[in-house]
Amino acid sequence: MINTQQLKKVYDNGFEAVKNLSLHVHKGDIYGFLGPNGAGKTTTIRMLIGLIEPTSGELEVSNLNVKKNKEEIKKHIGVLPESHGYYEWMTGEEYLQFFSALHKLDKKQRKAKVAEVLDLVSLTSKANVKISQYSRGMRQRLGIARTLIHDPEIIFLDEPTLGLDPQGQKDIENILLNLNKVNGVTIFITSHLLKDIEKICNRVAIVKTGTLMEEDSVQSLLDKYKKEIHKEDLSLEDVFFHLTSDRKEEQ
Amino acid sequence: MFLALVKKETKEHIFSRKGIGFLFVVSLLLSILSFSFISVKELSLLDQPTVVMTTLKLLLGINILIAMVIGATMIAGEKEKGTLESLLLTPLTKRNIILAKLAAILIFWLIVTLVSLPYLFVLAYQANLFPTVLLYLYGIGTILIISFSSIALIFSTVLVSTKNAMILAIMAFLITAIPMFLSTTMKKSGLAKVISENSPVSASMTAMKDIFINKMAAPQVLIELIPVFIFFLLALFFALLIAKKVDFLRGE
Ligand SMILES: Nc1ncnc2c1ncn2[C@@H]1O[C@H](COP(=O)(O)OP(=O)(O)OP(=O)(O)O)[C@@H](O)[C@H]1O
Ligand SMILES: [Mg+2]
Repeated sequence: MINTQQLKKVYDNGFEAVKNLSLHVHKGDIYGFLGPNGAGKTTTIRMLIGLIEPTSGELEVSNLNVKKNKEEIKKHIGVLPESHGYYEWMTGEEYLQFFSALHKLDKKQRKAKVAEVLDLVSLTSKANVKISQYSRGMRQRLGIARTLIHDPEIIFLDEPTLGLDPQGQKDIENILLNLNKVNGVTIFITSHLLKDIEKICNRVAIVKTGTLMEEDSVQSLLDKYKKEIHKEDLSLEDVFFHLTSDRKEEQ
Repeated sequence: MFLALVKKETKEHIFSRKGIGFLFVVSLLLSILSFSFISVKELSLLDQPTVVMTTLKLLLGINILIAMVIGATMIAGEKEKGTLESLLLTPLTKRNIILAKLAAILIFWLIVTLVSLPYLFVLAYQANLFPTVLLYLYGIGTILIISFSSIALIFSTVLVSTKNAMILAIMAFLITAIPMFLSTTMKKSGLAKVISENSPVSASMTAMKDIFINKMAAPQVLIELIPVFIFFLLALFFALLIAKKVDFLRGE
């Protein structure tokens, strides 16, 4: 689904945000892309979706070379950007209608599709409420619904649970699990909620200041680091800290 | 897909509180103006072509200003609200986005002119000037509106904050309006001469006078209007060129 080789991004100001990143996301994965603030997660996503140019390296999404297929790729992906806004004056339904039209669904399809994705994120009862009256959780769910409007094979979610309460987080997780299982959507997600990532993701990558530290299935990572980190009930969080913390372990 | 965006822009900027407010201001102004022309003694003595020209100038001036203000908020506003990134991920091209926004401004212009037609009709019918008014309004007027909105959209694209884009747009409007404030003698020499001879605004003013008062023939008027056409092509060209720069990034 996603393959990158030696992906690199140096911003105009000379800052190297992503260094030689080689990622492999398989079809059907829920892939957790983890790293501390400023690790380069958002930068990587923006390269993968064709919004910014990589400085060097190869990248392929949905078997398409992203650099050469900027327009085509849009049909295959859905994206929930990191901090994004809504047209507050629209209702949830109008918002999705608008995007379904932009994605060239024909008029008959639109209504059914909008109803379908609203149902997927449990917003059917709020369809005719103005977005300005939505709670944060409802907004994020609406955002996820929007990413699905054109039946993408893969969706990119940049911190979809940011600022949500535990129930809101759980709702999103359930939606994602369901999407992945029932609709077969591949999911590329970043989040700082490591416990949840551990629960829903089958594979994860951990990056630190633009460098890939690990990429593997959650279970393999736990097995691998069991020997290095001496702790009972080793969790993904422990591995994360082990790999990204600057402090050397106190003996 | 393009139409969906035009519709959204129209709803957001024109059939919204802001747009209706602008429309109200324009019609209020027209009402006061027409009323004065009829009831204030000194003004009622003015000849009809002068009355029509004054009204047209005012109508154009205020509409250009409004179009620029709307245009300036259109793209910078999406950046500020964080909605542009999602828009760029739809099959819309960046050029589509600029053109849709331009189309929405034109729809606003169309509505305003429709509202003002009755006033213009009343002011112009005696001197049989109404057809000429229509021609000027929809021909030259529309060209000017597109040109100035394009400039505002350029500002909106390259700047990140709505506020800055708006300030720049208003400044650009005032600078281009300078010829209107220059006295006839000032226009005869130096920089003022250069400005007034080449400025699209003064070209359209001269053309207006020649059409309504001097009744000049069409080919001559068209030659006078060359600066207007050049201005139009340049503004539109750069707006479409700069469309590539439409970028979701905030800050920097
Ligand atoms: N446009 C830019 N120009 C220069 N530097 C940038 C730009 N955007 C991001 N950076 C820098 O690149 C680094 C990586 O940023 P990025 O947003 O990708 O991190 P992130 O992993 O998504 O962090 P977070 O968890 O906070 O979202 C940061 O140090 C940031 O300051
Ligand atoms: Mg980020």
